[in-house]
Amino acid sequence: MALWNPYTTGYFNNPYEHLAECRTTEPMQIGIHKEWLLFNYKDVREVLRSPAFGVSKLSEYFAQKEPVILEKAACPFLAKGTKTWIMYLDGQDHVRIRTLADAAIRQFNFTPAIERAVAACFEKNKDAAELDVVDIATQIPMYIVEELMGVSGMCSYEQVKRFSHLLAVSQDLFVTKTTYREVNSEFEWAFSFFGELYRKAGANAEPHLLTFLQTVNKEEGFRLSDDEMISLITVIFMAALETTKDTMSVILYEVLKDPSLAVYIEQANEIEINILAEEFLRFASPLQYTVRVAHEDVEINGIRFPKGTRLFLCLASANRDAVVFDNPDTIVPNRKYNPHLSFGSGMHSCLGARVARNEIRSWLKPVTKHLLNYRLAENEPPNWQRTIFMRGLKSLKIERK
Amino acid sequence: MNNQEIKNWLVQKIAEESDIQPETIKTDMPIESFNLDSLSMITLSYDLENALGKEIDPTVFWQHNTIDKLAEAIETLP
Repeated sequence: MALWNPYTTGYFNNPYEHLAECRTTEPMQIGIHKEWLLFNYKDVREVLRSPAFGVSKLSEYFAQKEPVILEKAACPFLAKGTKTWIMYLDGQDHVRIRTLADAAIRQFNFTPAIERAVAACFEKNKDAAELDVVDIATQIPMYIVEELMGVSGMCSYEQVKRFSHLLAVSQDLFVTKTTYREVNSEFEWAFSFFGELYRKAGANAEPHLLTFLQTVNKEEGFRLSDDEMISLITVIFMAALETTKDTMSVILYEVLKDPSLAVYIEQANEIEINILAEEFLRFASPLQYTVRVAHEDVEINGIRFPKGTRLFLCLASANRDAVVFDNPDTIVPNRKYNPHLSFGSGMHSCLGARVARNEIRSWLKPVTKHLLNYRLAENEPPNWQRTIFMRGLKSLKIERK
Repeated sequence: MNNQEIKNWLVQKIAEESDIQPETIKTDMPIESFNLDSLSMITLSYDLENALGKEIDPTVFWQHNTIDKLAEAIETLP
């Protein structure tokens, strides 16, 4: 059998071969880290939708661990910063905060913001002889986030990039105390930065997401404190930036490798683009794993999991399961049946799914058209992030044809 | 670091992490008996990587169950 180990040679460049081996030889197994993993589509989906499972509690974990993670003089921000991160909440708190965030997000009109972001990014890069696809995939969501937050040139590109990336890394599987300490100091910065934006939001003439969050919280009686609202803003910010960057960079890599995809995109009508966007989401699986905890004793396929067992659900593997998807390792632009799990499923399914789909549908044609002038740089292989839960590129150099 | 130095390093660091006296640690005892949580094991593997200047998987503590075996495995890494 293949024992799951993300440090198997070549995993970060291409995890799918290893995941396929795990799925076909031992689809429910205890991995190298001594915890359970599920690889089959059917099992992963079942656990995602089962009321017997909840999410892991990140903020509680931090509250318990802060004394051993942080140096004595440091102000603790880890538990506070993640307190209202929706994907780590269950029950009443989850429903309440999700409803609040959803109501605010729905008031924001994304389509023009996305179109402006794509245009601004092109304008900035129009004369470049060499580009990094990851920079494009970072700049576009960054412009969108600026509109969400109602500021432009919000702060240094590097600072935002570092903050957002560290927040994503902090949720990975193997994280050291040093990284958590860095995350803590980034949160300290974020509380002052987003705190100021949030407090000023009401006075802003042009309403944006922070204004909507503030109004919904006040007028519909949610009563989140300012700190809880800032925690929520950080998670929306991180989710908006990191997942978009990862998904976009992986999609563009595929488009640059296969010119027939670029041609397909150029000629596709609206419906064909929507179908292709779903296929790209399945293929890229930006969030590769998610964790669930048994709230009671549960049995799956004859294996009993006692209450409290953590299960690692491999979404990336489920999305390549041949039982559900024909030619799972190929991008099939007009795939007919595509119930992928890239946005999860059930209670915790991705809150930003609608926005994410909107984004891909809006940028796919214009960005592809722009990149037709470029090719992958010779002798510069793609550089993949060494993260396990989130998959994306660190850099991908392209040069003008 | 040679084999003995790696062992000494591990004993010292494991003692610090699990808040026990280094003298009570025997290098042939199962690592799980020191009650290290995953946060500590991952942090130790990175610290070791920095101390030795060679690449060490963060899963190394799960792969080798005593300090003796761990030191031997680490010493033979390229």
